This record gives sequence, C-alpha cells and structure tokens, in this order.
Amino acid sequence: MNIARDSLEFGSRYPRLSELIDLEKMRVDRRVFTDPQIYQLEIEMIWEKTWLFLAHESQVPNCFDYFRAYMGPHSVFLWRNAEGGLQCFANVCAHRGATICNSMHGNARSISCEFHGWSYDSFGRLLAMPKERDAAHHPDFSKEKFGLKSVPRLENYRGFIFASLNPSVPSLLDHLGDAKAMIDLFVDSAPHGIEILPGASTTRFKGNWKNQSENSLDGWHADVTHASYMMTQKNRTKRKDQMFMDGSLDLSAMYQDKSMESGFYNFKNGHASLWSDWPNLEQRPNYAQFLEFKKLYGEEKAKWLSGRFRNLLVYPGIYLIDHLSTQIRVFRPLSVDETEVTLYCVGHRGESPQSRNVRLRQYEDCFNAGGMITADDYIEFERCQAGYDNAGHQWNEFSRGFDRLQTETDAHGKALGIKAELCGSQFEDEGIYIGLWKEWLRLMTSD
Amino acid sequence: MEELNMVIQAQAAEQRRKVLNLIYLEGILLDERKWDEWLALFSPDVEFWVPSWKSEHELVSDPLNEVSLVWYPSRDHLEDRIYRIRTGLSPASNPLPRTVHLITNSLIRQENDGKYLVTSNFQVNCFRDQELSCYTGYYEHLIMCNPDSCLILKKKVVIVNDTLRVMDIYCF
Repeated sequence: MNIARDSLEFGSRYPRLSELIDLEKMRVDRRVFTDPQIYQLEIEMIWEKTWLFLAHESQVPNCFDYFRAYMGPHSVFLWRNAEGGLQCFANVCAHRGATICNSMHGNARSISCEFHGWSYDSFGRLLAMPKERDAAHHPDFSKEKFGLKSVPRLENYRGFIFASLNPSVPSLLDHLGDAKAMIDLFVDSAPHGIEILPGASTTRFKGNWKNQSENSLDGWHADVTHASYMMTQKNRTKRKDQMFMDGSLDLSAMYQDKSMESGFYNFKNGHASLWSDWPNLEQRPNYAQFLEFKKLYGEEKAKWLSGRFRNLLVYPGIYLIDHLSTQIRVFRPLSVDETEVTLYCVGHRGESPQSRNVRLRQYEDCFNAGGMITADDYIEFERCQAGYDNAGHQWNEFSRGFDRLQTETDAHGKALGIKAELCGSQFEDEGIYIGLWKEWLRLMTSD
Repeated sequence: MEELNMVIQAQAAEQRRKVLNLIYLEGILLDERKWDEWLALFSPDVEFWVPSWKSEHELVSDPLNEVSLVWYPSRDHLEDRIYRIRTGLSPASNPLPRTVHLITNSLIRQENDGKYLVTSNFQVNCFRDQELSCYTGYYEHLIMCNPDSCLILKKKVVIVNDTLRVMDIYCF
C-alpha cells in the first residue's frame, strides 16, 4: 500500500482513503461517490491501471473491421489488420491529436485524419500525408516515428477482448482468476457459440459509476425497485399473454420460494457473481437445453449452465448477465456524477427462431431504456447521487448478511472448481460488495 | 356527375382531416394522461415499434432477429405499460413527467383502400425533477379508417437522440 497516497489529504475535511472504506462494519463513506478529486484519482488508479473490456470478437470478425470503444475517458479503437491480427490504438492522430476513428464501427483498409489528411494503414503505420513531396520537415522527422499509438496490453478470453493502458498489469488470465468459471458458463451455455445481436443501446445517467458496479450484484433491490415490472408480469400471466407467458419471467417467485438456493461469490480483483436457482425451471424457454446439459454433464453443471440466474461483475466496468435474456453491460465514467452504459443483447448462435424471439422480447422488456427494469435503476442511482450530498448520514450501509459471511466456498462453487474469497448463501445479502470495495481501495492506494 | 365528384372529394378531404387529427390527438391524450382514451386509438393487433440504431444512420430492420428499443405486436402490451404506470411503483414514472408533444410536418404518404400511411416529425418535451428532457424523431403511422372511426394499425417511432435513460411510452 502506498502510504503517501493513503495519507493524501483531500482538503482538511477528508480522512485517509482507507478510512472511507470500512469493510469491518460493511459501510463506505458517501464522499467516494461525490468527491471530484477522488474521481480524478479513480481515473488514474483504476481506469488507467486495470483491464477494461472493449468488445466481443464477433464485433470485429473480418480483416480491416474496426470498432470504437472507450477506456474510461480515453477513446480507442480496435482494428483487425490485413493479416487478421487484432490491434487496439489510441484514437488520436499522431500529427495534431484529433480523433481519427469517428464512426461507431465499420471496415477500412486505411483511416485518414480529416483534419490534415494524415492516413494510417491497418497496422497503424503512417502511410501518407498530403503535400508530402516538398514538405521540408525538420531533419528529425520520419514517417516511421508517427504511427498510431498501440494500447500497451490487449488480450482475449473466450472472445471477450480486454485492454489495459498499464504495460505492467498482470495477464488477463491472472486478473480474471476464478471469475473465468463464470465467463465459461456464459459462453458454454451456447453450444454453437455466442454472438452480439445488432442494435446496441447507450444511455447516460447522472450518477457515479460505482452505483452501476454495485447494482447487478444487488439482490435486495429487485422486488422493490422493480415491483411494477413484477406486478405487470403477474397481470400478463393472469390474462395468458402469448408472448410473455413464460412463468419464469415472474421474478417475484425467487423471493417467495424459500426452497430455492441462491448466493454469491467474491473473486480476487473485485470480480463478483450473484446467483439463484430459477423458479419454474420447467417453464423456462430453454428447459429442453437444460435436459440435454443434464444428460451430458449431470444435474449440478446443467443447473449452472441453464438452470440458474447468474450475474457476473468483471471489475470495474462490465457485467455478464444471464437471467431474463442474456446481455453484456459495459459502463464507463464520464464525470464524478455521470456514467455511460452500453447494453448488448447476446444471442446463442444457431438457436431456433422461437428461442431468438423469446430472448429479444425478454431483453427489450427489461433492459433497454424502453424496457421496464433498467430505467428504474438509473433513476434510483440519480436519487442516490442527489441524496449523497445532503447533510445526512455519512455512510452507505451494506451489512445485511454479516452473520452469514463464509470464507469457505460452498458445494455449488466447488462443483465449478472455484475458490471464492467470500461466499454468501442468500440472494439479498450485501457482503457481495465487500470484494469490489476491497479492490477499489487496493487499486487506489497501490504504487 | 360533377356534383357527385365534389361530394366524393369532400368526403375524401374530410377523411384525410380525420386521419391527421388522430395523429395530433394521440399526442394530446398522452400529455393529458388520458390513458384509456389513448389506448382506444389503437387496433387490438397494432404493431408498436421503436427500432434501435445499428450505426450512425442505420436502423435495425428486422424485429424478430435484431434488438429494438420497444417492439409490441398487439395492444395488450401497450395496456401492460399503462398498467405498470398505474401501479405508481415505477421510480421512472413516479412522479410522471409533465409532457408536451409537438407533432409537425405530418404528411399522408400513401392512401389505399381506407388505409393511410402518415409520416410526421415529433419533439416530446418531458419535464421532471427541475429538468427538461427533449425526445425528438420521426413517426410513421398506418391508420385504417371506416366511415365511423379511424384506428392506428402501426406506429413506428424513430428516436434520434437515443441516449436518454427513460423511454416510456409517454416519451414518444
């Protein structure tokens, strides 16, 4: 731990960073959500230091495909070169600093800056510039020196492309640790692979990014924040709606049926997973697939693959969500009180038109800004941000389940071969946040 | 004969007036939160579609294989949205924003067998929590008229500024 930074005084009002995160009492000081100096430090120590998700490989399948992404505040783009290799470049012209990749995605053999016309090939080399012949540059000038800057680290785990601005970050595999098992389930539940379905949506809310980091691990909020959705679903069941008749959409059963098992895992480096058995498994649209998995791998693995609600946070900014439909949720901070979230619906390659339809309808029903779940979360994040600044309580409390925290991985986790740092046995328990706050403090105070 | 033609023309003009009025009335009923009257403007098998954007200028074109912001193949699902608003338990709709629909440039683009395809531009202003959010884009309405009444068979909404975090049915 870097003592100098930990003692950094954010004006005389502020304690040390380590005093803002009280994991013993399971609480964090609300100033971590509101202080602009802490935010600046987060960019430097978290978003510029650790691994960040950029895209799924199905989004850049062919030579010359490019895809614009962000690493915290920094614009970058993936570009598949003429030989099929994938590179990630800072989205910055070497000449005068203008962004050169100004579309969301596309295919290009070369990209030219629209300011003075410097053009680059798919390996990032400076190809040409207008009026090159009588340029009479400084003698030190050579085109070789003015290629695009590669992002120092780029690695792929099972199709998920991550990059880091930190050249000495440990490998992606090491970073993911046992969270890999959860990514494996996300991929392996699709026997022919996964693909991103066309039509992403990007939304901005006026709240701190860490509200989004916590939210899809939050099993406690759902039947309150999303009560209107659950009531709507019950009403659909009552009128026997053809499109939304799937009984498993009734999430309220997860809270009422106490025979179902649920819990959470904290992995190293801030990753965490929330899970629950599905109620009404036999009414799920993929029940046939569950039976097939059961035949192949046995009941426990089959349950993990398609019989359980699973959310995985890969710290700090991506969720793999597999419950109502399947999605990748990527988010990034825009300022201390504004966050951008992009949602991708993930389909299983080769699934039947009927399954695809169910997947799309469930996804739209819940998650896009036009759906009935996610918008309610965003509004609650904004209400938190508005409330944090009040002269109210100092601490955000998350000690539900304190007495039930386990350091021993449960049998379900062991069946996956994972060793969790912390483990919980109830869907609503809040110890699930300990890992991500521990990682926040580790990164913020590391060398 | 000429008289008959004039009558037919007058009837056709009257019908077109009714069609355009329906577009404006739809916005007014949403602004006045007269939900049941709003629902009654739609045919039971209405297709309500808000496509999402694939790139800067390309919309998804196939709701069965691509992701939409909203896609409903019947009025039941619009009724669901109203049911949900009425629970009063959706934080995004409690309190409801004050909304103002501005609908302009409405043109009947096709007219065939009592069916009218109308395109319009819209701007919906939503005010809540001391903040004005502006939703803007284009509508495409397919409207079916018989001598007594007109009903909406299809409503397609292209939302131009698609980054807003709440897009409930009163925002379109």
